[in-house]
Order: sequence, then structure tokens, then C-alpha cells
Amino acid sequence: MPNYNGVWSLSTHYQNKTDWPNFDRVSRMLRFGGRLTGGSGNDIVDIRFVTISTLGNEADFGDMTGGRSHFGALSNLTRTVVGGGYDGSAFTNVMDYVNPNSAGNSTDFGDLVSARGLTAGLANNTRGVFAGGGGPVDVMEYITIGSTGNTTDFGNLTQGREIMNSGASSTTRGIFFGGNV
Amino acid sequence: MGVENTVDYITIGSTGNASDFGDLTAAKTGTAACASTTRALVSGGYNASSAEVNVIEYFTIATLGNGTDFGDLLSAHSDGYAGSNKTRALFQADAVINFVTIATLGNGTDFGDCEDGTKSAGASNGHGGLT
Repeated sequence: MPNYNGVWSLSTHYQNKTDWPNFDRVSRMLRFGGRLTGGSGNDIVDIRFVTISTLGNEADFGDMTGGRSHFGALSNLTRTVVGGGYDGSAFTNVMDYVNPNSAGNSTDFGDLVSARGLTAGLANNTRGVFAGGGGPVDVMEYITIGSTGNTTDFGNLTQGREIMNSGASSTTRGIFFGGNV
Repeated sequence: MGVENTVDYITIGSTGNASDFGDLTAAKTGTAACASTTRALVSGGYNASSAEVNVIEYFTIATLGNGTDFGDLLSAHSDGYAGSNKTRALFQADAVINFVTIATLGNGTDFGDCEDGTKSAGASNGHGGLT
């Protein structure tokens, strides 16, 4: 971790960034696809973003590999991943990812164990977990965010749940809230 | 099928089953959640009467327990998305993004507009699980 004291020279700034790669990273919130309020149009492809530190309207980021709604999302510093959802005709097991720091279209990450929607996601720096989903089911599965590939079984929720929508996490602990049982 | 108030937790680095963390202040589904390094916030959703709510509540991540009232969204909303950095949380509520300062209890304030008031999912690359 760099020492923040004093006025930095250009070389010190460079050294601090080298020592701590996230030191001047700008945090973004990304929104993926979805459906229009009122329930129509389950196949929105847009990805939009805001910069969390700066008040303002959403701006265009790119497009998903296909329009979907009812999926879970998770992110570490360099990859944001969405999993499952409804493509307008069927539930899917597709996972897409983007680099949240660079606007652009999403890329295939891998597949959930099964096609389903209404999942929730959370992550720390290295691992992302998708939990629950339509049924409801008690499934939790995980990905190593830095490596594309399919999910692996993580364990089970205390009971089957759907529509938890999103989880929250510290570096070590992940929490899932409420839902339909 | 019913709406649940249960909160589960996992240790992300260790595979295994979830354990009980505590309860939401009321049974809700379709909420949006995010976190700083120490505090998790949960907003909106549908209650057991299928009515959208505007409640924001919080949990201290390291300490098992029930949710506590944080404040209100500018409007009741469900199936929205949320994101955060270490100090600020954002929540979609209809066509408006609300923000709060995570360390300070209070109501949502207008951050900016969503293009089309969708029901979507989202995530942020600066939340409490990241360093």
C-alpha cells in the first residue's frame, strides 16, 4: 500500500500505481439487459453504466451476447459476470462477462450447471457465487472470475429460493437476502 | 410459495452450505443489495402483500443479526439493481438512481436517470468484497 502523505512527483505516482494497481481505479455500476417495467420485452441487450463517485445519468456501455432478463450479476475489479436468465422464449444457462473498466460488448464466460433464471450473485476478488433460482432451488455454484469456464457446485442455501436478485459481500463473507420460497 | 425474511451467509473462499445470518425487517423478495467493506444494504422489493416497498435496511457483515432501518428510497421499487464503492451505494428506483452514503443513515438522493426504467440486474467493480 503506498504512503499517501505529501505531494507526489510523477515518478512517485507511477510507483504507487505499480505497488497498488487499484489505487486510482474508478468504480462503476453496470446494468445489464432486463425487461421493461410492466413486464414486457424480456430481451433487452443494452449494458449501461454510471461512475459511482460522480452524479449523472446512465450511459451506454455495450451489448450483451443476447437479450435476457431475470439473471444474477456479480463483479470483481476487472470482470463483471451475469449468469442465466430468460431470453424471451426460454431460461438459459449462459454466462457473459465484460471488463467494467472498458466499455464494450459482453463475451461468453461459460455455462451454469443448468438453465435457470431468478438467480442472485455476489463475489470477492477471486470467486463469484450464483445462488438460488426458479423453482425455487437451493443450488449455489461458483466460478473463478479470472478464468472463463463453467460453474462448479458450491453448496446449498438453507432452503430453495428465487428472486433474491442480488447478494452483498465483504472480502470473505457473502450474504443473500429474502426471496420467494 | 411465500415471501421470505431469512438471510443466509456463506464464506466465499470455502465451499459448503449456507448458514442463517438473521432476518430482514420484513419478508421481501426482489430486493437489490450492495456493500461496503463492513456494511451491507438492501433496498426495495416486494413485501408479502405483493406491494413494492421503499425501505433501505442494513446489516453489519461481520456480525450475525437482523436488519435495521437505514432510510427510504425516493420511490418504492422492486427487481432493481444496486452497486457500491467503499463509501457510496446506488440503487435503481424506477427511472431514477438513488444514492446514499453507506456509513450514514438516511434517505436516498437523486443520482441521475436510468434510460428506461427497466427491471434489470447489475453489479459494481468497487464493492466491499474487493480491495
